[in-house]
Amino acid sequence: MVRGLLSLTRVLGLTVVADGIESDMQLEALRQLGCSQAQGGFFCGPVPPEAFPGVVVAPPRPSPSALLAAAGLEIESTDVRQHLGQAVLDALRASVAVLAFDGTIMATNLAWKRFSLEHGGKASSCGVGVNYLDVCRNARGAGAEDAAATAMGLRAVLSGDRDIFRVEYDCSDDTEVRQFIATATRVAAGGGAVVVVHNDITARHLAEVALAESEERFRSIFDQAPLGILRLDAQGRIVDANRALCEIVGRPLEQLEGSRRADLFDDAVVGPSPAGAEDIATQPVDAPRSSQRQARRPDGTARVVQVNDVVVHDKEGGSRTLVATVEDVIDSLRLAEDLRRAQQMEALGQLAGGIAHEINTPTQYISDNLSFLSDIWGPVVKLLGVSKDAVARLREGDAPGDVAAALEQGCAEVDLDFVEAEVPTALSQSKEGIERVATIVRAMKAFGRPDPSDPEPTDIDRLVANAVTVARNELKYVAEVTTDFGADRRVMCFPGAISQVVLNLLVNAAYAVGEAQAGTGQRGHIGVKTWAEADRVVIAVSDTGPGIPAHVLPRIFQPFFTTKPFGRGTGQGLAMAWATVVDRHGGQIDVATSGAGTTITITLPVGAPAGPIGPPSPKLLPGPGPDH
Amino acid sequence: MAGSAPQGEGSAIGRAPAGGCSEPPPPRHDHLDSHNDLSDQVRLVYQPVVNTEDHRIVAAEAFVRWSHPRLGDTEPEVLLPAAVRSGLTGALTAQVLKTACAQLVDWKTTGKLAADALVAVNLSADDLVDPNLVTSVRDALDGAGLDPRYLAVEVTEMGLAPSPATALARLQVLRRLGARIAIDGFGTGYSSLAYLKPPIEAVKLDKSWSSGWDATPKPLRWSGAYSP
Repeated sequence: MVRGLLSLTRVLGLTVVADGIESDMQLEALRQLGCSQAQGGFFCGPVPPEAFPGVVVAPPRPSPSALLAAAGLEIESTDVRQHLGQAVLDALRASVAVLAFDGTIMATNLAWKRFSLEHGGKASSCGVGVNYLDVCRNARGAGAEDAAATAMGLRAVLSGDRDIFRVEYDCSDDTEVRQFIATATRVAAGGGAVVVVHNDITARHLAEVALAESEERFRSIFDQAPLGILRLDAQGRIVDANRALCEIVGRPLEQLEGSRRADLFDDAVVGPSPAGAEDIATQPVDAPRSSQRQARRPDGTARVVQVNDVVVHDKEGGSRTLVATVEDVIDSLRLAEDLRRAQQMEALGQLAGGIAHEINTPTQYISDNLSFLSDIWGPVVKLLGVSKDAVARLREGDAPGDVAAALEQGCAEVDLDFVEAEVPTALSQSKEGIERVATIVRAMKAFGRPDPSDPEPTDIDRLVANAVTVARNELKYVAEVTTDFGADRRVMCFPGAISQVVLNLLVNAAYAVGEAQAGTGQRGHIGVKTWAEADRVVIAVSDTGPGIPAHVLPRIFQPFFTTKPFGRGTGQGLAMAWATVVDRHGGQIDVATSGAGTTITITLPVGAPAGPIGPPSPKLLPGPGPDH
Repeated sequence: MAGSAPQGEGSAIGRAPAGGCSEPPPPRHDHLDSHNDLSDQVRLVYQPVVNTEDHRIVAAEAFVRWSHPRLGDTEPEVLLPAAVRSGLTGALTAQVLKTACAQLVDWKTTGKLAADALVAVNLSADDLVDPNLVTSVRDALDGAGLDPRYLAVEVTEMGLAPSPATALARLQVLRRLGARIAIDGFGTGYSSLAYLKPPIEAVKLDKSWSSGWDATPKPLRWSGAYSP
């Protein structure tokens, strides 16, 4: 109706004013309908005279026809429309042609002309007047197939069967990659005209290729990582896994996708149960959690693995997924054991100087005694010779008085009382010395020996005595050491590990006492005591050191924590003691400390260790039973 | 929109560009006391009318505002009945015409508006039957020294309705004087084509027409540009 009214007013020569214009869309619509004047809030509401705008009301943006008018163009002129249309087409980067219903090219833009020239065509081969269907049909060479497909699609659009046709095609040659997308669109009001547009999408294509390559790269990193990696969706289903993971669980990727983690791992191991769907929803992002569990493999074998879960958000912070790394821990357990042994040897190395001294002392007096014995041997042999002569002379009938005199003289040359008193002492001392050396060597051997794969019955008294022997040189200058071995029990344990713990306690005690006694010229006291208690054995090491300050006490079992000066302690001793006694043997460590000294008590169960993960031994890992 | 308003709304003089129809009926005791009140309390605001092509201002439409001693600024819907009650309708229109013409001359002198810009004044049904209307117009033009060509008077169909013959005769006189005549708010009332002839030479579409065009405008046809 508006349209009708407006054409009528125009016929009648009336000026038409649009009122209440609030937006540029309204303005543009009514302007196109023929309103030559307008008013409304879009320009300016009613205002006091002083606020009235001047001459031109600045519009938010000029209308296209206003721009044309400013450029001196009259939109009504067909000529201008044609020029304008051509200018717009030429400004496009895409190659554009307008086809008549039979496929004849009616108009092309600059990009079209340029492209056809650059690709060996003459201006006339693909220009106005040429039938584009023929161009496509007659295409030869690498692009012929694409061109034929284009021709078919184009015909469908020209005949009105389709409104739009789109095809991507490759225009690459030996020197460069070029990728295009061609679109043919029907112009509804154009009397059956079709607009054909060729867009160069090489950049997009290259970006896609690069993206695919980068994805490939990351995929191969993902796949070749020695660590098993698993991705779960918000419902707890496996969506991705890498090769290492497939190897650990012994299943191909196809079997894993869509299955649940519970199908792959037992949960009866250390740490929290593996995250399920509800955890993925509620767990804080980036909060990792670790557990040790057992992978169930179809071949019936099992692997102990360390599983680390991290919940991650996608980029928008919307959906959550869970990424789990799965590591075969047999190797790392083995490694931990190797490390423990290395540290044990290192401790022995550190004690070596003292041990050498310990061996040196008995060697020294064995040597002294041997010298004494060999010194005394000459006169004794001589006396034996005199005695032999005396016997012969008596047989030959020499005068007994003469013989007796010779014997008396011989005896006078050897202090027989002295020999009688000293030789047994020298012998027993030497024997004792040899025994001490033998003890030390035995203790060292006990220390250096790798632990058996299973706990074995161990005489705890002897074990502690060995430790005291090995450490004696560290102890004896700072403290008087008293021992009271009363356990009299065999305990199922890993003797090397326990020895190491006791040795650490002794060295710590010596250090503490040394600190307390420094400069006093006096020695402190270190007491080592073992006893049995029901089904447990207790080892206590006490010292008269300065005690452990309250602020240090909570940290003494932390790895790498040490109060010793640099180079004197690694901070591993008590941490390892904790790991050995509590984790591996299911025992306990108690610390009683005051300014007068410290007593550290180790309690070990007599039976087999209750610790969850023993040393690396396949026998410890239960295989999957039929109920799994 | 105009049809539901009180009598004063129908009269063209104060048709406000917005908000008139939802105003409550004015309290009866509000009235203009004297000519003094008129000059003290009544003032004009202006809204530009622009060329849709280049946005140049082609006219300024005057609207009346009453700064009521107690109610503050009020819309014409309050003022006009008060003027009627006080018998000051003619005086009000004369003042509006005078002020508006003087304002236009002032703007043209200072260069704020182009030399061919118009001032538009709304006239009510009462104005159109007022025998003094033509005198008031002539006085205003003469007083301001304004060429009549630059005065436009706007009337609504409702303004013409009570006595169309008299009203059209009045407008014919004004047209011969040189003023432009426009019909305002066209398209809501009878939209009678009978009015679309001299002396009417401009039609102002009602605002309600504009609001329907907010959707995406139809794409321009581009036939022709590529016709061979």
